[in-house]
Amino acid sequence: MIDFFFAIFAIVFNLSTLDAAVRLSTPLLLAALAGLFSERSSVFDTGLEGKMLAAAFAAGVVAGVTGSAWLGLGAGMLVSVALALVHGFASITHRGNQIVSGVAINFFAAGLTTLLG
Amino acid sequence: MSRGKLPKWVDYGLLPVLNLAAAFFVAGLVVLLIGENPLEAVKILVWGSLGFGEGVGYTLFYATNFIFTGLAVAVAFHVGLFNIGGEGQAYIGGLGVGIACLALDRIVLWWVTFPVAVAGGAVFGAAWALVPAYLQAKRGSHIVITTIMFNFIASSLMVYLLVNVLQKPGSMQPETRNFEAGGQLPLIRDILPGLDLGQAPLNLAFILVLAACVFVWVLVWHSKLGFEIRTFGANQTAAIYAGISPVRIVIITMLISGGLAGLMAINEVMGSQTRLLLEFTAGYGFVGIAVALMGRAHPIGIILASILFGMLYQGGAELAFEKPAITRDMIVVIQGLVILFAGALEHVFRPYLERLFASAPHPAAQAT
Repeated sequence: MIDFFFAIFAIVFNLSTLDAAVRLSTPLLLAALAGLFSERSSVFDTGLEGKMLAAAFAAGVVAGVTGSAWLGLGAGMLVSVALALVHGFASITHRGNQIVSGVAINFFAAGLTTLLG
Repeated sequence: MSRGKLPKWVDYGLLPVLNLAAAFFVAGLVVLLIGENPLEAVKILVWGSLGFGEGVGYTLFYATNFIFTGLAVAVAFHVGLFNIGGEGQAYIGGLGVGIACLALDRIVLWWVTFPVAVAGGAVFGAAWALVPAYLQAKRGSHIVITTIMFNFIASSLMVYLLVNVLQKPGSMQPETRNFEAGGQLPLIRDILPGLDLGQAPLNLAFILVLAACVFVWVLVWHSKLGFEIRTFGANQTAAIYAGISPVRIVIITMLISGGLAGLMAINEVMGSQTRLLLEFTAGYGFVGIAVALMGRAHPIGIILASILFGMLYQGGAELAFEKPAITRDMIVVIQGLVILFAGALEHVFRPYLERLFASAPHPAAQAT
């Protein structure tokens, strides 16, 4: 039994696990922060998934074409902000349903990224 | 809500058509972006879905799925809830239908299996909606979050069951054995060979779905329960003050919603596939959201919207075949745009229309 726990301990606490944990928690942290900001302004953002997907697509395309990771990062942020503007236009300017507009963004991004990719 | 200021035909006819036109206009821009001619794409789409008997059969077959899931979303809309879990409820409903068919198909005729399978689908789908409904009613957990999560749980559960429990012995495929004749719904093409439906799997579930539409219409607009549902959806505080139990009404409505979603499996599992297999829901539960929004949560609107989405699915398959650049993901894009314009942006054109029709005499206009 003790051996078993040592084995688990050795798996959990080593450098490569730490490395993977930081890598995998980065998107979760960023998405959580994004959700926190919109929640603070009382907009319930169900469209985070779609925004991240579209941003990842744009970042990948721009970075691949220009060869610059920074331009890719900028493009990803621009696309995500553009989708957030659509979300805001629908749910703040026109008082549409926030959840419905988030779901719409998810579908739009999921479809468009595979269609164009 | 500014509802009631407009003449009825504008509110329920012109406004949805305008929203839809906006969605298709943006979809047309996407087609242009890919480098194809949008008008040609529309021509192929309409011909592929309505141009010949088999196409019409497939269109109506897909529409049957969408009407079931659309009704499920619509019933939940009326109580003010957003049931995004139609996908999972339909998936688990398929388990109920599959168990009924596997148990009875070798013993009795199809019309004995049919009511048992309908009950199985409805009960299993409703059971899958029960936990989110309970959590929403008693604990205030957001129903959107819980139903999304239950979609994932349903997906994992069905993988486990199909791989470990229900799999056909001696097969590597994660699916059950084929149902015998006692577990198959008669196809319309066999009943009415004169219709020239080709290989289209349109089946008796189409009749069942029309009955479900009448059921929802009577339930929501012509029953005491429906009155409570709509009252609670319009104003929770007033409904509670009037003596409507919020826990009871939320749970009952979600059970009906889940049951309707579960019935979708009758069409897919018992009617078309004649076996239970992985991912037979194929996103139909999510299309139900778009359909319910477009159909303004009314059965007739849902039927029309479902036929439109059936056309998109069937015509989209033809389109992907004719124009390889436009894959079936185009449908998902259109779906997203329809949800955006018909759902989230539904009030955009309203002020202009109100200005346009302001001179039209309407009793409600003076009241507000």
